[in-house]
Amino acid sequence: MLEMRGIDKTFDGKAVLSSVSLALSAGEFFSILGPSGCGKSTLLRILAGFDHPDRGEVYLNGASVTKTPPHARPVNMVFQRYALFPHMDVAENVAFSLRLGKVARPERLRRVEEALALVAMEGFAGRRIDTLSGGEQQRVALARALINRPKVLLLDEPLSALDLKIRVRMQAELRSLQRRLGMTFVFVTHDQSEALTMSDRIAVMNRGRVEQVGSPQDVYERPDTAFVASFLGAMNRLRGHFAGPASGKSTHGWVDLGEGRRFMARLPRLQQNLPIGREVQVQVRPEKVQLAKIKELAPASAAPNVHLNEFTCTLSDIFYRGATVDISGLFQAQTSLVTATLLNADRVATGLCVGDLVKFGFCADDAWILSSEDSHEA
Amino acid sequence: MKHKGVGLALPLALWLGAFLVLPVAFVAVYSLLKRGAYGEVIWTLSLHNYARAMDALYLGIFAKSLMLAALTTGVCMIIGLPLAYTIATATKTWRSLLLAVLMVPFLTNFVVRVYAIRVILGVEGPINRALIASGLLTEPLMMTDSLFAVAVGMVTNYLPFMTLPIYVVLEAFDFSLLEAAADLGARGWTILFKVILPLSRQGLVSGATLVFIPVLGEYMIPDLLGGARTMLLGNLMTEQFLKARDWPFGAALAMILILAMLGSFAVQRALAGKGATLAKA
Repeated sequence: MLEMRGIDKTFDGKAVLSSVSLALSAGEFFSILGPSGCGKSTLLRILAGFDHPDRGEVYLNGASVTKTPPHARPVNMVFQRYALFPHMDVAENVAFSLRLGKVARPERLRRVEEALALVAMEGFAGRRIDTLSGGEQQRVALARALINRPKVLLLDEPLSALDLKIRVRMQAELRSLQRRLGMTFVFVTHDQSEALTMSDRIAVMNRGRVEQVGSPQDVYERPDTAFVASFLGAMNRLRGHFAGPASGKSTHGWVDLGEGRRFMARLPRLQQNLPIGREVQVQVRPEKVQLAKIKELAPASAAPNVHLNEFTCTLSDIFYRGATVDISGLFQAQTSLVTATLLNADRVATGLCVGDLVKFGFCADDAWILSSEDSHEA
Repeated sequence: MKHKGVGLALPLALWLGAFLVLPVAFVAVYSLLKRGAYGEVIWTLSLHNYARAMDALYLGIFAKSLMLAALTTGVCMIIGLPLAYTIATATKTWRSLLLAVLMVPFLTNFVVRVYAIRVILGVEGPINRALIASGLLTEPLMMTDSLFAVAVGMVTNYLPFMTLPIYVVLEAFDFSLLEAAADLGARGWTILFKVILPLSRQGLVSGATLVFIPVLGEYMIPDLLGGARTMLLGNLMTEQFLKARDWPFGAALAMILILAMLGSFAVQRALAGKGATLAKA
């Protein structure tokens, strides 16, 4: 229902967006995730009508709105710093668009009350903006943007200015609000955990391009590019050379890590034409790395004949993280650091110490091969 | 012990006492005295100077001065707001450049600046030459020695005093508010009246105070640009002191001007303090 086709945008000769195409379905919680300067905010501003693409079109329910000015678009925006009018109280802020639309007073009052109830801000109608906390201002901004029931709600890093505790609560509330209203949300964020928690789908952007679009599981567990893999969550990278596809399955390949070691890992969609001998990385998430001292290494997947990559390491560091613990070992003639994330309780049970020799292992299905050439961006 | 800072304010208090309170007290006393036949002061107390100031002739001058001050303030606002907005939204380099351009006239002598306006508006000035050369006119316009020339001089001279306070407010302005307003359905003029103006109120009011009050008492500009026929409050007073040698009447006029300024200052303070209420409309 909201579609972007081939959007290009340059500022001062610098390409900010390069042929961005995305299609959103109605009622979707869609996140645009990327580091600062990746063009995600510009893309959102183009959707709102504040900026205009040099090339490309924006369609809303099949009709082009590329040239529609912001005041005429059936979309509303929640701004990063809320942008509440400081000279108006809460009710006046929320009713701003209704006043412009000449909505009669009784109807207006009813809808303001309704909108404030939606964000659990009943009783705040007469409060001045500067007497509200950050979280309360956020709710007012949300009510103001929702009161006209826009077709699409745009959210520009709306939670980034909040304390961690309130942020986590607002994440849950935003998500449930979106489900209740069945409205399409476009949520821009640089916080990968926020995107993973809240979204139906995520578009990961880097340097003005969309690197991958998919469900949170897709982008986290099956990244298409080295950038996506490294931007979402922690990552172990083991350097090696591509040694060819695994026999019988074109979806997997072998990597030669030197010292006579070969690991098997998945070959992502975009990496299937790797030439043999190309410098690659085997990437595996720390929580997928297992530790032999705890229990017998076992394939995580239920399927039989899953290849298990095993190697021994000297423990170099133990980082306490509360519920979990990260243990790191040196590998490949002390040049690669491998980190495994374990439950803290498990670590205590094994009584591991720095300097211990341990055996690590991970399933071929939990790791993937990415060409080193496109990982310099990461 | 609570007022340890009082000692520090003593020099200022002495200064203000000697050079503000005392002179104003002198003026107040003088305004109640009488002029003698040779311009000397006769020590009999009466209010007759004030009664004389209520003469239609002088009331007319008061009215004209007030109107000119109001007009100057209004024109300065209409030019100053977009100017301040342009400066506040310009890139860094442009911003310093524009601010410098705004301030440069103050590096020149005041009289020279006012005379420059005389030259520009004059019969042989560039405006008349251009109008005649373009065939729009055959005879030059007589623009100097008129209320119009005085108004041009006032606006030119006092524009920075309006622009800078507005600029200070707009510099700290959150311009995403304009986008928020547009996003919620507001267009250009609505955004101006519902968001920009209410939030620049502080700057507009300080600017208005800084322009209105000095313009009301200004005597150099009317003297140099207004010619003999343009009599304003400032010249009238100067004349009483320097030419007519009627210090008591001049003092009475000065007292009335001080009261008028205090009055307008109070009005402007009240407007600034009112805060959000106007924006609700």
